[in-house]
Amino acid sequence: MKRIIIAGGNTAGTIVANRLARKLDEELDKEEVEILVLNKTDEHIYLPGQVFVAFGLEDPAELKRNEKELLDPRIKFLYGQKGTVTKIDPANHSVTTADGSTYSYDYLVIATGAESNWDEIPGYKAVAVSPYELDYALKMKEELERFEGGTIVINTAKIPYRCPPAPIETALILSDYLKKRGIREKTRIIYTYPLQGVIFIPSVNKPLLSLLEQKGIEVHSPFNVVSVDPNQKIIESQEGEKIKFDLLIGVPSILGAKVIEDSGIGDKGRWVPTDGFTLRMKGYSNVYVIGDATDLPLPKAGSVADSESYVIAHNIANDIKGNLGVKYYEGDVFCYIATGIGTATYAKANYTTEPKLVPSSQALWWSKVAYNKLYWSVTAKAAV
Amino acid sequence: MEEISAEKIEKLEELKLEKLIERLDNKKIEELAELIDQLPSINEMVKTLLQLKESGVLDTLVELSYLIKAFRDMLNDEAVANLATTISSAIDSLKLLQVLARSLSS
Repeated sequence: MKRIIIAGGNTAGTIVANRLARKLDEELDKEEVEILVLNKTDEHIYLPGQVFVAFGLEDPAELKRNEKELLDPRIKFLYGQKGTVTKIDPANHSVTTADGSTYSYDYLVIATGAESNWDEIPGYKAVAVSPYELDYALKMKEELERFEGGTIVINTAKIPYRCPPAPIETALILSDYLKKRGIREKTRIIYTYPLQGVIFIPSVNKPLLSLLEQKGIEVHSPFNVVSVDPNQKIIESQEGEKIKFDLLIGVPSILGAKVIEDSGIGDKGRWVPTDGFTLRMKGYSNVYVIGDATDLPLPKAGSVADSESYVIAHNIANDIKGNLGVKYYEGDVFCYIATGIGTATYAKANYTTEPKLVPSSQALWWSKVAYNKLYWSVTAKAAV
Repeated sequence: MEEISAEKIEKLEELKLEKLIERLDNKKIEELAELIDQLPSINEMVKTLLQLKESGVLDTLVELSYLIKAFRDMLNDEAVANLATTISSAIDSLKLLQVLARSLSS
């Protein structure tokens, strides 16, 4: 029997596991293949929906599901101590979990994701709210409900960070949210970014800057935060700028999972060296890397993992069945971007095509809302 | 800056017109003639387009066209095949349910 281990659950791990189950349907039924998902928790959180939670546009309960219920029933799933991967040993084709068990594999998919680096900036964690983690998003919702006017700073700390358009979405939705509450004119919204511009993708920088300007949002860039004074409520940049705020919305930078560092298989950011076309870990033909865990110059976003899952599942199935042919990843990225409450646009790109924005519309907003709702039954289950 | 005299402007306009006439061959002249014959219909069409624009229908159609483009951009060959398989299975299940319902009622 061939064993495929997926190290990590949530979006990337779940989609690739379910897609593999779909591809290896007969082999699973005949018990010629075993798919084992190892994850820290049995909770699956839909991360892109957190921005909506922060503005009271989504029920937080809608963003959580039990991981086991999302997986094909034939997939084995371990969580907690039994599922927390503490070491990945590609040379010996094995992974070790926190309970001391070691599992050998024929194929491994590393889906260990990314972790927020809150402690990088002194004072940041103590005062910032954020749409990037559910607890912080709920805190942001409460703070916004209490907010009666003043200065709100939206700060992207450093690159990389999750879901590149999310800080802009946050600023644009925030403007509409405050307008609906009748306090927009009493509020100064300041968007700060570590590079010149509002996003690191040149082709969409200008149109997104224009959207921010249309809503009267100030842009301060480059602004590389060095510290935050939680008592005085002042954020200070490497460039020497100090901004006093009433509310700080923080976008922390991210690192790969600690297990990557502990296993000695990543770079200094804990990202796994990955071939951009085969999605194999460099130097290992039976190890694949998906989603945020790769060192590829792609957005750290769920839609990237979804696109990559087609290639990884297909190529593992081809290795096992031997008759499907090889697929190559072309860097496909598709991303909805909310441009306010009730409007959205989207961008699509790949390794050779720069993203371009289509005109914002209500139809695309509805499409984004529907996509979020369909995530559980369609995307996570790899139904299409 | 040198001021352009009215005479010069007239000459430039003549040159432009000459260039335009040079580009007209018999085929293009015939096509232009056909277009002139169609003017009443074209006018009707423009009126309809203006009505659609004023009522907001045109904007909705444009929005929907971008929505369709979004779906196309979101999908790939395998996703379309999977979608078709899912629809096919759903139809089969529906048929099975109908057969079951008939056998239960008989």
